[in-house]
Amino acid sequence: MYNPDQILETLERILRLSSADETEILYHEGEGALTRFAENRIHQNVSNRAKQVTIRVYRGKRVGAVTTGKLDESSIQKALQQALAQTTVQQDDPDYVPLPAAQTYAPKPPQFDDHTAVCEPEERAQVVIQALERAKAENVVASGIFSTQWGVTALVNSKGVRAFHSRTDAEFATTMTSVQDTTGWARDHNSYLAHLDPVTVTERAIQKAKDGMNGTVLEPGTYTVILEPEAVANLGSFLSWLGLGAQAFLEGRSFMSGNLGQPVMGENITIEDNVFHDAFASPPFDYEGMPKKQVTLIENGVAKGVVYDLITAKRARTQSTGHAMPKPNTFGPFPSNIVIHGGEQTLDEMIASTERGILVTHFHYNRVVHPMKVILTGLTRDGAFLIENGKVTCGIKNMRYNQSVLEAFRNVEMMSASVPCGTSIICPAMKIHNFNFSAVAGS
Amino acid sequence: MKDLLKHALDVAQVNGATYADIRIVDHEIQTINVKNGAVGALRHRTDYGFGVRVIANGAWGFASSDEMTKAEIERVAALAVKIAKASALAGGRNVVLSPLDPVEDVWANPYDIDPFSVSLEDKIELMLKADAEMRTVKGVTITESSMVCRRYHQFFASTEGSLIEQTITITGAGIICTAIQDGTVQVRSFPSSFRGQYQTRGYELVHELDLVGRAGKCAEEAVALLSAKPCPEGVMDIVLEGSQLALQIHESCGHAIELDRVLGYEANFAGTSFLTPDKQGRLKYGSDIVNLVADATAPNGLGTFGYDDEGVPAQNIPVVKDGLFVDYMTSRETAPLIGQRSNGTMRANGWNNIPLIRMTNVSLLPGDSNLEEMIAGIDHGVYFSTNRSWSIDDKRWDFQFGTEIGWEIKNGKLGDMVKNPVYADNTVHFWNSCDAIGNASEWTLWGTPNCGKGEPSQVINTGHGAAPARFRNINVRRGA
Repeated sequence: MYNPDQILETLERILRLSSADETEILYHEGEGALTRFAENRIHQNVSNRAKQVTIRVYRGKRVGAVTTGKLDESSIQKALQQALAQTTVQQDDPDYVPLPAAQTYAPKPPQFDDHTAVCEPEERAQVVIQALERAKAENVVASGIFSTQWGVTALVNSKGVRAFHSRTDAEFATTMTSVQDTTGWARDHNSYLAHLDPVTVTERAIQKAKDGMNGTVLEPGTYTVILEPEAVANLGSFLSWLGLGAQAFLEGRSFMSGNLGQPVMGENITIEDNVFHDAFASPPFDYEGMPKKQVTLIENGVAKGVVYDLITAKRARTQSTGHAMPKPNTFGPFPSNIVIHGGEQTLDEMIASTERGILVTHFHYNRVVHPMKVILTGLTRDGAFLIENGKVTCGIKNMRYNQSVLEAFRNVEMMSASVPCGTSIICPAMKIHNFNFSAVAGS
Repeated sequence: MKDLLKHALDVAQVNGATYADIRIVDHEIQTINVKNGAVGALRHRTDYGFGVRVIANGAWGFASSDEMTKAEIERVAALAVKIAKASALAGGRNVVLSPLDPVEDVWANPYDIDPFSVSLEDKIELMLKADAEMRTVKGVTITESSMVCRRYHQFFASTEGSLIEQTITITGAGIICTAIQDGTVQVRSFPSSFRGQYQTRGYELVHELDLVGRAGKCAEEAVALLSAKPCPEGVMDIVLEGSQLALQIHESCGHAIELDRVLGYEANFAGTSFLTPDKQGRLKYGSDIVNLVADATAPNGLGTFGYDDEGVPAQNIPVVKDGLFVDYMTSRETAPLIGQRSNGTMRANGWNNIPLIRMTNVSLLPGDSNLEEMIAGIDHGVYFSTNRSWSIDDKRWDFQFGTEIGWEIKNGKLGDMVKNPVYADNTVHFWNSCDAIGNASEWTLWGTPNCGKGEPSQVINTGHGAAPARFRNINVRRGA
């Protein structure tokens, strides 16, 4: 697998080779495997091992950056020369901030599992075969993935930063398709393969596909919706890059711009970025080597703050919150460990409290229609159901929504506990009134 | 190189592969992003590695690595076979490849000026000039200009005897201007959104784009949009500008004709397709004037190549002929399932991914009309230009597109600029509503460099030729 000492020694060697005033080395290494199934068989099955370094150098205030997957001595020398050559054609960087000195990072529990890292293709196949057999037994067609991977991120610089992080990740996701072409989808994600629950995922997807059969078509209009956590994640993740980073905020193109201290969502909505949540396997440092801080973004509906890297912090005369993305870039920092605080109700209680509404598994092809108002469009997918008199009564044909996320998050009536949805967001299920559907989809 | 390629294939066969291929890829990309009068990001990236794809026990396996040593090639080739044998444990249909004559060839796309031969100083100067030109317009908030130069050098070899060396050189550039006022954000891009125009060409493309010359108009339109009137709403006639129509083709035709989607391979991710095999040769996809092709041979196209990543020669395939849906894009595995041979559309993003069926240059052939004539034939409608948002369902049927800018059409003439225009429809109604297509002089082969598909996700370059076209009775509304 990997050897942290060897990696850091390699990066130290590159630092020593550099004649720049300041040098930063970002290193990624990893190995991943993904078994993909469709038509009730394994149709694709892949494995990849790779590593790369990004060398960022400063001569004075002039920057150069080169990324390479070739780590032999001559290739590294060439990359360094190319980065230095870039500094000669650049102007002084108006946003120049010196590379940071050595930092201390808050400890995180280990999120590296040897079993996950070395999972064999036969083991993945056996898990998939169980899902396929259940699909055949239920007369549905299975498709999906089972992936396992490990990864290492290291960042060092000539000022003394030495940051290293390793993690593993396993995911099982499946879409089941019924004889009536209705679909059900579910997934699970964990750093530890042993904690993954493909059996429950399989059963949920099968049940959704079957529950959608003999469904109905609803007229477009405004409905009360109950969004499962994955559907909330689809919407909530757009907040991150549209408005919760300092660059969008400072440029005046964020819904947070000019609104700090003002209500922008309902009083029951609190959103933070928190890499230290147990469910996140991300590094406790950012791509400048700064420690990641826990940042409250929205508190009880009020805009509280955005996340910063060193450049945007300098512009705003504040401190970096440790949310830099790989440099150089023109888009600035983003929160990448979003936690939307949940409530105490269960999904069943939300359904029972609803006279007429729509239950949504997740959304598909979500895109921005209006960035400042965070108006998105997209479609329900893999399980949308009609709720009548407190019960799920039948499946419905997928529908297109056009909805401001800010408005939706002002109309939240009930929330469940929050759960991880993928690797970068933790969300509750939400009951939301006045959610706008503009069309019915489907041939 | 030949020895390494042969050794990988030998190891795969010794381990039990009945078929194997290997791709060794050396990839180089240079990106320049200028923002608000300064170079915001200048990057140079290279990667190099190989991937071995095999069939063993009737199933696929693939493994890849960036360590180009004999020992690693042996490990990876053996691992690919081990993975294939694990795939076979699940049973199901055995993989059968459509026949292919082995070929030995060297192929590269032509260009006039090697984009890597142009100095960084010259490139940066041009980007800064375009940026400065946009900033001369009062009311502009954010200005961006970008350029990408890319070279993809690949060796392909298979156990069937093919040995192909292919080099693809790509250049792209564009500008974006953003105006912000009172909670409103308006954007104009030139010559297209997604950071401009991209083609399999050299630096001559950048010269032709004349970014500096077009920057002022781009900025003026962004500012004018802040006070433009809202888009009219209702069912009306519309004209789509070429780059918007290119994305319309990409989403509602290109993805829908990928045979792997049709067969359910993407059901868990990208989705499937309404174009099921019973519709081949039967469905009236569009009006009689609609002729669509998937042409991997088109000069300069971003989806142009000599051979696909299975070694199948590039082809020009009629997809929709006189409005009738006639063919899919296929692979060596999927084509036999509909009684055909592969038409050569399998491509991988890099050495570390398997090839998938990907759009080549899926294009609407020119018609006999022109923009002025099309607008003259509309009493009340909207002219849509430059994509801003795009969304389509998982079967490629129901869609909604928004563009950066629109102009109201009244009594056969282009009228007021309108902001946040959106149109929505279903694919078959839309294409059957097409009653005029611009002629060859208005036709451009646009590049779309950001097409996503597959798990693990792969982003690939595609091309789409289009001239402006007119569509009758389309649902139009305002996006905000």
